[in-house]
Amino acid sequence: MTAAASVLKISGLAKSYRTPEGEVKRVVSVDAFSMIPGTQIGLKGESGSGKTTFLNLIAGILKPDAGSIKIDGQEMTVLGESQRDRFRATTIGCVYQSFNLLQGYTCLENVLLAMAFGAGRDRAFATSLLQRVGLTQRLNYYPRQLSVGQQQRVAVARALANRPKLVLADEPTGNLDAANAIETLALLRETCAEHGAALLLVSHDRDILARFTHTEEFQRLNSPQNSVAA
Amino acid sequence: MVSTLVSASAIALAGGLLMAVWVMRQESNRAFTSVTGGFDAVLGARSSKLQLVLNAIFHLEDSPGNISPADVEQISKNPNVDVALPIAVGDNYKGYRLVGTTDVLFDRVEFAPGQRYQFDGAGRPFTIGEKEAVVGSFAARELKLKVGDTFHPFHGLLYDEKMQHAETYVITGIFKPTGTPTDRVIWIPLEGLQRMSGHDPKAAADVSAVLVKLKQENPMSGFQMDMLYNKRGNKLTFAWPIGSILAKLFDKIAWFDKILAFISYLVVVVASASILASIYNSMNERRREIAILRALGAQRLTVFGAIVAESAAIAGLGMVISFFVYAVIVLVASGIIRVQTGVVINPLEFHWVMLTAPAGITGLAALCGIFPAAKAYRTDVASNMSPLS
Repeated sequence: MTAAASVLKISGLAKSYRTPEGEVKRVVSVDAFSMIPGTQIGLKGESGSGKTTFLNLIAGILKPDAGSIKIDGQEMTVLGESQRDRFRATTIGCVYQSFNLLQGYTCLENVLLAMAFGAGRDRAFATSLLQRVGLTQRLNYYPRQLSVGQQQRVAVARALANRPKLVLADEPTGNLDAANAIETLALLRETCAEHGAALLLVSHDRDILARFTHTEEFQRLNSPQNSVAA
Repeated sequence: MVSTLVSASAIALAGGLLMAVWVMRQESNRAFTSVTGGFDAVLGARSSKLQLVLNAIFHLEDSPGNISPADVEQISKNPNVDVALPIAVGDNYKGYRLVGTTDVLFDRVEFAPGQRYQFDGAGRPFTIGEKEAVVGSFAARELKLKVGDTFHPFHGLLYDEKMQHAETYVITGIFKPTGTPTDRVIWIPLEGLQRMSGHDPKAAADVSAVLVKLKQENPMSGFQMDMLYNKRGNKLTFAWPIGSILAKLFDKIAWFDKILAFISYLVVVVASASILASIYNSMNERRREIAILRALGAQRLTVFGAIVAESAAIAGLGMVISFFVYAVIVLVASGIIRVQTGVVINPLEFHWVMLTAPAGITGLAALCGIFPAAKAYRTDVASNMSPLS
């Protein structure tokens, strides 16, 4: 797999935190990881294993201490914070366990708002995304007026709002019941495939991960030392 | 939402107060210094010029004393004088001054350039030697007087029902509104007031003051009259020019304007600070929203700008409402001035403060928004993405 062919290519990635006791604790240490465009990978990781930090590093929300993250050919680690923000808006979609919808905005507005930071507001496309996730009749509903399953569907539509190359999903079914979880996962995978976006989904749920043809153990990828420096 | 409305209301009150103080100061200054009743000067007993003007033009204050018929005769014949209107005061009808004068009031006096006193409906001037009266529009309205009505004057400038004179006056005319203090006056023939029962017969020929209009041909006429009465003489005071004398009064009470303005500015600062406090306090609750926006790709400066804009928008909303507050304050204040002095102030006249105050206050609020905006700017995305517990 060449770098040019990868939508995501990680090498020598490291991230540490200083604990309140002053100890420096490394939580992410990934030697190599890559994804080709359009692939879908289920990443298995237990709570506290550093997988959310790993996704935040990929999304450019956090800056790594060392290593390289290339997304769609762009080296993320050389970008400044505002450049990473802009790149994230246009290239990466995110789906979270707690949906992270803005409560003061309708479903449609939530999707349009994401577009405002990326490719620009496209009401027709936003509407079509919400129709695709089965919310045709709920465009002007506020998140609190929706079931949790419907809220996560809005989050899926929002993640695809800027036609991203890569969608990062952090325990997207964690707050859903089994039926909704399976349904939402299927929807997420289908829509990513339809839009040609690669999907990196992190979960600790074996049933969810079993639906992926390609899975990875985060603990196998990640080999942090407990303490690297004082 | 509630705190936003409270903050906007505070700005509305502050902005309305600031604009009202400013406009009332400007308008009252302009109105009082331009109201001359068509005269250039007042001749009266030795006293302060201001007291003479307030008494003879604005019909406020006590008369500083009388002047003799000889003095009236002398100024009437002075070649610099175009119109000399003697007046006598000392009586009232239910608090509204009776002013004795001559028929020159009807024939020669223009209360504003080209505007003579006109009667409302079928009125006529009083007849010299008769117990007749012509009433100013405001006094007529307040006292519910009409042509043909009769009344008994009361002694003194302040109404005391025990001080009623025996004479009965009949109203022959009501003046149309002039927007000057004469709207509050009841005019009667000069000798009627001079010889009212109970008045000192020795002063029966004296007058309280002479209102003077100077001839326009001689630009030095005012200075010459000033020299004649104020510099060389020491018996009378020639109050000229009327506008400048009133302007000096406003200069003397400028400290009060400054205090009012200072209070207004202070209220504006407090209102702006309330916006700061309300947004700043909401920042904790909004950390997650800000983190979500950042995760969606909003840059730190975008979030910063949104908070500053929010602060400015609250102030902007407040300033829209402030025009209502302003209108209420100036309408009430100008109504009070009208009732107390007869001077009409146009409260809805455009002033630049109506643009500068909204711009300034909105700008100040935007500045106040910088503090909460800085807090939003520093919001850490990764640690604030989870729901608040």
